[in-house]
Amino acid sequence: MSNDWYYATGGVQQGPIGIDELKARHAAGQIPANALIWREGMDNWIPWNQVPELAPTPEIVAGGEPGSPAPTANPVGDQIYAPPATSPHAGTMGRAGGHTMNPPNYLWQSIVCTLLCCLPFGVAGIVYAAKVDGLAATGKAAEALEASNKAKFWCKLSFGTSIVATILYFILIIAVA
Amino acid sequence: MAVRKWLVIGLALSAAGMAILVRGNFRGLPPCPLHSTTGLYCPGCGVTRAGRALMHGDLGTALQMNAVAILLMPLMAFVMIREIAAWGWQRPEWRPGTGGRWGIRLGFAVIIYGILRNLPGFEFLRPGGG
Repeated sequence: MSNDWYYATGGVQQGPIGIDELKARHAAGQIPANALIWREGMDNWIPWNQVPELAPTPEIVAGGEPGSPAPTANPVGDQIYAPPATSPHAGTMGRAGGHTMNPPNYLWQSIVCTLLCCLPFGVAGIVYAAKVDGLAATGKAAEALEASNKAKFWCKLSFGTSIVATILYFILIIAVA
Repeated sequence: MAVRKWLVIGLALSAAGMAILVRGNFRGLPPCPLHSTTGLYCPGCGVTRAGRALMHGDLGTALQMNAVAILLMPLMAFVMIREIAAWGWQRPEWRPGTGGRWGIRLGFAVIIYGILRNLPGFEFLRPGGG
């Protein structure tokens, strides 16, 4: 096996190393289960547990050193869905171990932002969020991901603007008082 | 663990926010930036006052300020707590679902609520009943 694997933990990229070394470092607890993995030929960085070659195998689980973290722990968050962003192959979205995964629709996040952030941006979030599942269901993976990303963008803009405005408001109040 | 640290920070900020909401007067609370700049009522207008009324046990005033937000509060709390728990304990299966068809209908209902609040004849939907 050639030394062509990279991993990233805490935003720091490591490698290249061989796959055996990669597994060894994982077993030793140096690479967490939510680390992002990349090697030559991959479209993008993908989480450890979605790399086919690194799928949890009985030997790792059974033969892991005492105290080593279980390799089956899934990461929570955006990383799960990140890989297909630049993938030209529609239909391969978020493929993990053979089953496809829809991008998150950000619907409830949009609704919460619309109601709690006092800004119209959340409305744009809801509109895009409403499209995601339908597009994914009809196989339009790329469009679904685009809608998902747009919904996410408007949610973040709404939330961020609201937080910044609130902080500025309180600074202003304190400055005046 | 960084996740736990952020959980504690989040809880502390929430507690501080609630304290401000309970103790502060209306002049001390941030107004809706959309309403103060454009005069329009967004779907979230009145939420701060509604939250304050709710924390003083005044459900009637809370519903007058923003009925939709108050009615959806348990649902919003439910999904947010699930999301935070899934993140904090690294359990993706705890994350809220997509909402399906009813989630989408709910989303558009919120948008329609925001539009109606600005139309004549629907003044009763505005914070404080217009």
